[in-house]
Amino acid sequence: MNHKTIQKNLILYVDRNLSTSDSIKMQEHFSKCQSCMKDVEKLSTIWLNENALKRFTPSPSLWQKLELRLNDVRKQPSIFINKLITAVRLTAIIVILFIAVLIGRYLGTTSMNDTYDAVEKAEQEYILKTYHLDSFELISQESLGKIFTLTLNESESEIRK
Amino acid sequence: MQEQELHQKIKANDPSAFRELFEIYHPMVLNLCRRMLDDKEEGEDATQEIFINIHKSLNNFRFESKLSTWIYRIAVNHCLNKQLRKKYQKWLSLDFISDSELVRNTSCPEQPDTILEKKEFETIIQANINSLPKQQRIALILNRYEGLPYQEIAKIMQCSISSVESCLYRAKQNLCKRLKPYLKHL
Repeated sequence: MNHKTIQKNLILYVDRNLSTSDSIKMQEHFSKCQSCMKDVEKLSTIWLNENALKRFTPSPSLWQKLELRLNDVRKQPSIFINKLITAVRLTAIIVILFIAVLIGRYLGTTSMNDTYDAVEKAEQEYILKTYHLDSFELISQESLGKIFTLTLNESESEIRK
Repeated sequence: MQEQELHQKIKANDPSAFRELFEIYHPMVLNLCRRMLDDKEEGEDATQEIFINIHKSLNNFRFESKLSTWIYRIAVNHCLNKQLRKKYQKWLSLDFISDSELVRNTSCPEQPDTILEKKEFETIIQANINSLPKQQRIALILNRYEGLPYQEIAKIMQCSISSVESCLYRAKQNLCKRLKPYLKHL
């Protein structure tokens, strides 16, 4: 055992937690090393001091204080009721959130439809005014595609010719 | 004998059982709280809170272990929670800055000529025990100040006897390292 390990094991030596062989090694070191000897002497007087291990005396009014607090606790609702209250609160929050999402979705879809309708109407009015038309029919996107492929085919056949 | 009588009274829902339980076990709970929390008022406050918890869960106690072991377990857990809460509160209020300075001052005495008295040294030992890692701290307090055998400490800490032994071994080695600078001043 070197000086460092001896210094680390001083309390263990004082408390007799070391094996007999280790204790003998420690004692051999103490006979050679004065500082370790002093340290172990000081530590044993402090560590084994019975006054330090004295138990604290509780204040006489501790029971009265506890009784007051217990009365307060008894007035409070029981654990089951507390759990029930928290469960009700949680479900209320979830329901409110669900309703909020539903309202949001409803408002979102209706307002989007309204805006689409308004844009469509404005476009129609613009076309009627600019081309001096009484009325016209909108071509669906499918028929637009068909017209486009037809014109493409025609132009291809013309190029071949 | 005392514990068995109390067991029977609790089982029979005797209203005087809790008072009796308090009278028997409050010195040990208070002692543990004072050691773990290192403050008189906080220790008494924690003792009251622990007995309120005991009062609430006394009907759930299944008498599988000793009543004292059960009470010690509640007390240790309560003190650990309290310490943790205190730590968080200090971090939130930025008190840890002043605290770290305090620790620095106590951990390394600046004046080499100062001679420490035995009482002062005991408070230093107590402060250093409280700065040990959780498991080591609990094992050392229960062993040194409560004088409990390894077997009971193992039951309270819910671990094996060998791990209690190693905890105590490491705790004493760590404490020795921390106390070394103070030994010169004694």
